[in-house]
Amino acid sequence: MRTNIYLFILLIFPFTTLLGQSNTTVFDQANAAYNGGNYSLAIEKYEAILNDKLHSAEVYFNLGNAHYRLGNVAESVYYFEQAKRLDPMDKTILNNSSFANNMTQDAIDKLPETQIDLLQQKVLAFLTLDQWTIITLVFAWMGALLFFMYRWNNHIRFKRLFFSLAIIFVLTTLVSLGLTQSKLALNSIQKAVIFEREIEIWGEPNTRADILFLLHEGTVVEVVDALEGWSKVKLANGSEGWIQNSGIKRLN
Amino acid sequence: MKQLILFFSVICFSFFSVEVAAQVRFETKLSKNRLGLNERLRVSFEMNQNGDNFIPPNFDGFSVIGGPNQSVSNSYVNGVRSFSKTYTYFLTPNRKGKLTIGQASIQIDGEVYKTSPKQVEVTEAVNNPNSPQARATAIADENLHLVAEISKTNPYLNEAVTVIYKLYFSSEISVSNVNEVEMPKYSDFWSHLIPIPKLEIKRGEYKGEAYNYVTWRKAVLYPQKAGKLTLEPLTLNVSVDVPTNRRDFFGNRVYQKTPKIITAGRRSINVRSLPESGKPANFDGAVGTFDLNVKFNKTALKSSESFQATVKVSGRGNLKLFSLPKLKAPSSLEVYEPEHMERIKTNLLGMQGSIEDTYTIVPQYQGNYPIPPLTFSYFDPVKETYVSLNSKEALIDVFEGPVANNPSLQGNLAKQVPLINENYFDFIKLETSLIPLEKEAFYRSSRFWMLLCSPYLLYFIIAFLKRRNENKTIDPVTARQKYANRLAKKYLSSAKKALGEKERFYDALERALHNYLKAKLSIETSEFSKERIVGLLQEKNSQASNISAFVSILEKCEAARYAPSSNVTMQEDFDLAVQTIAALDREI
Repeated sequence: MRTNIYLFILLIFPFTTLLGQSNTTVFDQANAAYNGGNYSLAIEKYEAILNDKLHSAEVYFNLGNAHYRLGNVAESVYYFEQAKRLDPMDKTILNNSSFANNMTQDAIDKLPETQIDLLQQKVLAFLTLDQWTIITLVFAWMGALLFFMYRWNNHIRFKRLFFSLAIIFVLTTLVSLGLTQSKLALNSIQKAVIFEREIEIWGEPNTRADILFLLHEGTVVEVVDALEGWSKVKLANGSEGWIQNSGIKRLN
Repeated sequence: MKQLILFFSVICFSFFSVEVAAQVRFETKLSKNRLGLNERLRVSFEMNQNGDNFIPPNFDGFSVIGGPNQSVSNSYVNGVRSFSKTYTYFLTPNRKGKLTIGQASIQIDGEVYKTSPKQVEVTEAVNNPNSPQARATAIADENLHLVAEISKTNPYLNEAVTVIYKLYFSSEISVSNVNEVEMPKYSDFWSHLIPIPKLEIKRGEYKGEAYNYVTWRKAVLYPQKAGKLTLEPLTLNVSVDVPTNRRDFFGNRVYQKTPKIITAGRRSINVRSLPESGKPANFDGAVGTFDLNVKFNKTALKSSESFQATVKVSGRGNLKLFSLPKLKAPSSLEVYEPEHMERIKTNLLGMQGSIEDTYTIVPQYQGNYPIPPLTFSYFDPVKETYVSLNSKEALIDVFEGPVANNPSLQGNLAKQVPLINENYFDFIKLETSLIPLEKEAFYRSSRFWMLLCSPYLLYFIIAFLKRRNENKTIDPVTARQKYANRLAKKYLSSAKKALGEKERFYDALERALHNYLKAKLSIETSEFSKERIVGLLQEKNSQASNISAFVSILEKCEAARYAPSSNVTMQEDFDLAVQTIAALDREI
């Protein structure tokens, strides 16, 4: 039982471990370069952190900012999207991301969404996948604990209370598990950013097919399929087509 | 201008011509190159040194109606001698078509000289042969020519071609009153006429002879179709003053006016299409040499202001015939339809100048807006290559104004995110905690499932173990009682099965009752006597009727075992036993 509790604590705070002390100093150096107006140097330093297989929403956000300052549309949009993936609720990220999206040329109208979808997205955006997983486990353990209390309590009144609470917690665990699953599904949506200044979207994954429309630098698309150097992409307005992989950069 | 007075010089004979060198000249001279079938032709063979053995050609297709007449002239001018000897024939043609006056030969100083053959065109019979009018027309024909000069006969598509119409006339005649009968339409061409403010007479050569000419018309054409294109001819109606043989009172030659229609310029042009190899995707048909210039009147402004972008292409080529590249701006900028302006001069080299589109752009939100570079491609017909020009990328900084409520953010998250108060591009974040880029997924890992299920498993395991422990701690007395109870039930059921078989039935019933008592009263079989049973049952406060019923059943069992009575009522006994046990069970 005691080891279980340790394990549990270890689970709750597994991500607080500080990694790469030297990289935080690189981060500070990059910030200083940014503040000094040397955006290219700042980009170089931030990318050095990423090359060390470390990342954070802030690193992506700052990279997006630096590219925005240099007027690099695609890179700026790309890094803000990465930052949003790690921290979907941060207001400053959303704010600057909308600035970056202003630089893009494609005006794509979103398909209308139902209130339920929006509510679900809002709820899911509240926590990251890992946080949702932890919440699910906490509910599960609470439910189990209440079952123990129900079983080994002699007062009939407490027994009843604990039993109903335990049932409630088990149900909550199931709901939370479902939400975690949909969060995983949301995270597994493959997104990509157009890096070519202008790129053709084809009807088929070959150049013999017809060109359906053109997309421009910085537009975010959803990747739904892939075949030999081509990706099938879907726009926010629902239209689909094939694009050459050389023109896009995937977010995950 | 209309009256072009020109001097007339004698056509055939020049008696006083000056001979500089002692070179032998022997040639054929014709009175006209074109004549009607019913007209006459005078042919003269002229030499500048005396010769013998003149052999005329056989005038094939002609009949000789006069001649040969021989004339000799000899003159001295300033001590220089000039000599001329001429044989003249008069001929009438026998048939229509192109006839040839063959070679005549003469022997001068022992050498044989020959004339070169000359062609004569014989046409339909004329109404008034050898009338002054016909003669005038013939002279006009010979001395007036309209020529179309085309700068290039195999241009590229959209490459400038100039057509210059020149009216040549010899000094013998004068020209007045020129008007155009038919203007060429230049279909399949984009055409531009270069106005000629004042007609000027210039000296030039036409087929090796000195002529005067007037440039009548200049046109610049841009072929719009590849392949063989035909230029329509230009037809002019000209009044020609032709000298006659008559002289007026003062000895001046009398001129006769004759109308003349002349045509020129039915030419075909072979237009080459532009090469397909290396053709840029954005090529829009511009041919020539150009320069691209994109300008912004401001690059930093407030969102309430507007700025202008000018896309300008200047140079030489088909400027009016292609469209400028469209300015592409971020969708969040409001771009109005451009204002088109052309400053083009057209001269013989083609169109020259510039065309420009001026866009008015109004930013709606603050931020940085990159204007992507424009690409303009043209074909250079001289170098025969395509050239692509790129403008520089510009960054428009809108430094004040509302921030975008970007529609692309709507739906996913933005509806819940209040962006209204944020109107500034935020500064970078200064604190971070870095995490590994590639992290193992925890959700749905075996560790996750284990952690999810383990408390419940633990719960069930503990519950199970606890139940087993409870079973172990039961005391032996109760265990024996339980055993007896089970036996009682067992015998009772076997008694029920044995209904009808007297001996086995009562044996089982007795055992059932004994075991029942063992279980209920915790007594050993050794203590089994009726008195003891009654005593114990009374101690437990059982009803007397039940006790007596129990005892009577026991007695009956014993009696049935030893006395072979026939009137056994097994069913009733069994029912009674069950009832009694049930009654006792409630009491004890």
